[in-house]
Amino acid sequence: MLTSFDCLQNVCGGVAYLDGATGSMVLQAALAGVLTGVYFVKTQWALIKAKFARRQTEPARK
Amino acid sequence: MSGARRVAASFRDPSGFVFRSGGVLYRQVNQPYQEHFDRLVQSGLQDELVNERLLVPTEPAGLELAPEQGATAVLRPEPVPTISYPYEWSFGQLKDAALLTLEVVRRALGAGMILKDASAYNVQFLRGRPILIDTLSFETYREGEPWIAYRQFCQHFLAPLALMALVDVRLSSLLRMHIDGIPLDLASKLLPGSTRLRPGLLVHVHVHGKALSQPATENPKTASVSKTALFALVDNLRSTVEGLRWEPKGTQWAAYYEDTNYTEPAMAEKRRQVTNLLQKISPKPTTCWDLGANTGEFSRIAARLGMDTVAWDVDPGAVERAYAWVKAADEPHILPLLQDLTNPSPGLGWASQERDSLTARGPVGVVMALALVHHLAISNNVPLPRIAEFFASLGEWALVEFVPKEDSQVRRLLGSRRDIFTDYHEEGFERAMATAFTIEARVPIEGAARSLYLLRRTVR
Repeated sequence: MLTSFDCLQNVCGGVAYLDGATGSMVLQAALAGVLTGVYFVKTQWALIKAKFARRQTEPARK
Repeated sequence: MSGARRVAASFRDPSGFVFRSGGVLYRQVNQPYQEHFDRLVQSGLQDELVNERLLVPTEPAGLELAPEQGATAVLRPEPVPTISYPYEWSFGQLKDAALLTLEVVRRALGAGMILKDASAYNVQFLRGRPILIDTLSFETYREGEPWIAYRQFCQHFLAPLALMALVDVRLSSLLRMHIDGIPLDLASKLLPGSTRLRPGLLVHVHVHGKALSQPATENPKTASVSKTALFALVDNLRSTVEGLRWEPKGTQWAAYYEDTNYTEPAMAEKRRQVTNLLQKISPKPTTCWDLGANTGEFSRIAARLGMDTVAWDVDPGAVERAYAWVKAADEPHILPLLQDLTNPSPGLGWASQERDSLTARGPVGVVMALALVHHLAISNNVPLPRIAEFFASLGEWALVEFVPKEDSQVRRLLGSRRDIFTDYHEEGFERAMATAFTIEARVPIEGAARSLYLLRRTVR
């Protein structure tokens, strides 16, 4: 598995040319858990809403 | 290959570069980028993005065109009629460019790739809509790798959008000063304290700015970021960008067309005369710059005549409204842009050549300057011959409206100052224009005491 240190050493991807900046890389890792949680809840909520919307339109079709 | 010239802005990324040969724009792809380029094509990502008008279409060109060693391919991208820069975009244009960039990252991740840069300069407006122009921005995604362009995205897009929406829309001019985007610590200082209550701005600007100002260490902390976390990061950036809004209200020109001394019949007459004069130009120009275009009312005439038209204006509200109209009408020929003609965009960046000045992007077929000269001559004290010289540097032809001192708009400008403009009259105007143009036609606008001049350049 790659680490942000690997990226700073310019091995990641092989064609990276930007300085990703340590602070920026570490912040992404720190945010990962929280943002993934929010993303999971958001996508699940969207799925539930879509399911309800389908159910409501189905009787109308009948 | 002889005669090929590398575009001055294209030097940072060793994956390839852009060059011109025989007036055509090409992109050389270098060998180290081959595997990433192959993946972009073979994964179907390139086709998907091109079909959805998110990425500029390219055609393969002969490898023999490559001007430098190490080429693996040469591409011919669809040309963009006018190159524009983020400091010339309205709030809505920058926001749309930001959302485009995030959508491209999301789709790239889905195809096992990612953007290795997120520069606002990689976005241009083509047929009225933003589009990514850098085909070499993609690289193969590797599990655990953070997004290397996260900082660049925040500096180029998020920080300026937040400052424009929440402090002052004119702060987009900071992008002119900071070529790699607004430093996040600076944005953090300028934003109101209340923005710390917005989770997106708190983390992506304030905390990010703080994190970046920590001194770099030789052995930084190691960490990895999963692909799901990257999807989450991109989604969160999208929500944060979407949450930023700015509406033009109370700006200088917001109600300009409602506050002119043109009656509706006189305005219709002006439209008719502008159309007639533009149609007189032979051969028919393909490009037009409408200087001081306001919301682009007259740019639409040039666009209807098939000219790729830039509607330049100094007022961010007017440019925002013009862009909103272009989007709603799906108008492919008009590009509204912000420009202060008394201090136009200079050459910027490395050797002052990375970003072209306004004049370096000309000349165009025809320049329109309707109800503009009195602002330049009286509000900004620019002598009429200098105005003629400036117009001649921008266009082969010029369609210029002269507004005399008797006009209430000029009287208003002179109301609070001494009238030192002894040459500001029709004869003085014609004499000044004759230093750079021949007057091909002069048409008085009935009911408005103003005149339109069609001018043909005699000097370069």
